[in-house]
Amino acid sequence: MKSGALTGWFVVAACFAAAGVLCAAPKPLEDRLRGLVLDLLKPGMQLAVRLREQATAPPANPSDRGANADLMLQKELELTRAQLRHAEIDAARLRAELETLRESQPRPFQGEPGRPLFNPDVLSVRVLDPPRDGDVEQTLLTLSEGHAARVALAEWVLADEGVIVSHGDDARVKPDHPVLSGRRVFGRIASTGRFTSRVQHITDPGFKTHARIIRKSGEATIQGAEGLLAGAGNGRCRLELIADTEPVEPGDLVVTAASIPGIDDSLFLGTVETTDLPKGAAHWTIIVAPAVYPAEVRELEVVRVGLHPDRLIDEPDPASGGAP
Amino acid sequence: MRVARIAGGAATAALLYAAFAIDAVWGGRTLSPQWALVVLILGAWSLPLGRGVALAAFIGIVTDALGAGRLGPGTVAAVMTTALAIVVRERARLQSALAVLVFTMLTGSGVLAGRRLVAALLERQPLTVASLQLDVARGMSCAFAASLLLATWHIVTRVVRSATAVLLRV
Repeated sequence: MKSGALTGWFVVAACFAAAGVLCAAPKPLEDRLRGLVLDLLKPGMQLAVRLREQATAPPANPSDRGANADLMLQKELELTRAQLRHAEIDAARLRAELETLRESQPRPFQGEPGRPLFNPDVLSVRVLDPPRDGDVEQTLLTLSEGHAARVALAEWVLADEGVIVSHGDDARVKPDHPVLSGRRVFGRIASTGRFTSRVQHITDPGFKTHARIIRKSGEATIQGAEGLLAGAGNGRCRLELIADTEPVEPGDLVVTAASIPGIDDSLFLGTVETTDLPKGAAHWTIIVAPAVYPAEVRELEVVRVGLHPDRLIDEPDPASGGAP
Repeated sequence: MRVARIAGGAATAALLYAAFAIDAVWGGRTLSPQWALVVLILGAWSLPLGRGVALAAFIGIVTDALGAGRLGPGTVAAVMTTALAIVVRERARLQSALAVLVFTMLTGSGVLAGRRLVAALLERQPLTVASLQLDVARGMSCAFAASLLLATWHIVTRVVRSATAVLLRV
């Protein structure tokens, strides 16, 4: 056999061994390699997205002013809806707190609210591989920022709908902080590279989170049962573990239930679409429509939770002899 | 000659980068050609065993990283299919237009269907006929793109050669 052919077969064996190693690679190594590849491809992907946008952009014409006005109105409508959800969620929370206060004897001591340990801030990111309209299969999207911009694993990602900033009229939120309550959840960060990251949409089969129902009873908004929201993979989610004794109906809101460090508010996950109680079952079969679909977004917002700057110890100043 | 080789290598690397970037934004979800796979098919048709398989392994790793599943199945499928394709091509001395068409179709479909098969074996997921049919269709779309590129290259080189011959004779 010629030496060239031998070298060829040696390369085949080496490549096959490398592929086998990849198959058995642990998840962290897999994520690192994936992050590295996406980081390297980021400039090319940005260029491809720009070309795609230019290719699909409608030609400029005089009626554009009307289209822009429509867009502005849509944005305003979404903002108003977010404010309404914020108010509904707050009303339900206050009602639950009032019930607790009425029931608890003696009244618990309530101190002055101090500075929170964690401080959320919102980072706008661009989607590098937005899916086409109606595509519900693609539930993992690549974002234009990674851990160089403090984007970390499992952070919440919200739809871009204009940040509502608190004016400090509520004791729970500090002035100039973003109001996150009622904001539409897109998903969570699944893996991060240095300059890119991947977000997992809430309909992805691997997505799971603790969720709560918010329902309307007459004029009042009430906190309902808590369950597990899991992605169904077909553009919908399932709300599991809701007992058959709990009231639930289509149109109820589904929000996050677990307290997330730095985000005390409930984030909006979706709306109950269908409910079914099979004969003899102990739990409802609930299908939830997500708050936002992957094909709708071009930009998203990552909620980064860091330590509150006021809670950090100042670095000692060497010039002043170590005094802070 | 050395400069030409370096320029050729750089051009190939740039084309491959562009193919990956386009695939990351557009590819894999429709029947439009996946350009990384087109490059793999062209490599399998024109390169010797070692270089062809090394290129296939690299493309397999990157496309696995761009996909949503685990790493590895795409690389295994790319290496195996390309090695088999190059051995068959060298043994059977394939040259005709029909041979090109059949070769590109089998290689393209083999890589995509092979990836699904290996992933199903590794993750113990059910393998449906519909998903395999979709892979074969996507593979054929890539095969047509690769065949078209090969035909264009063939025609262009022929024209350039004959034009050069005419000019030199003059």
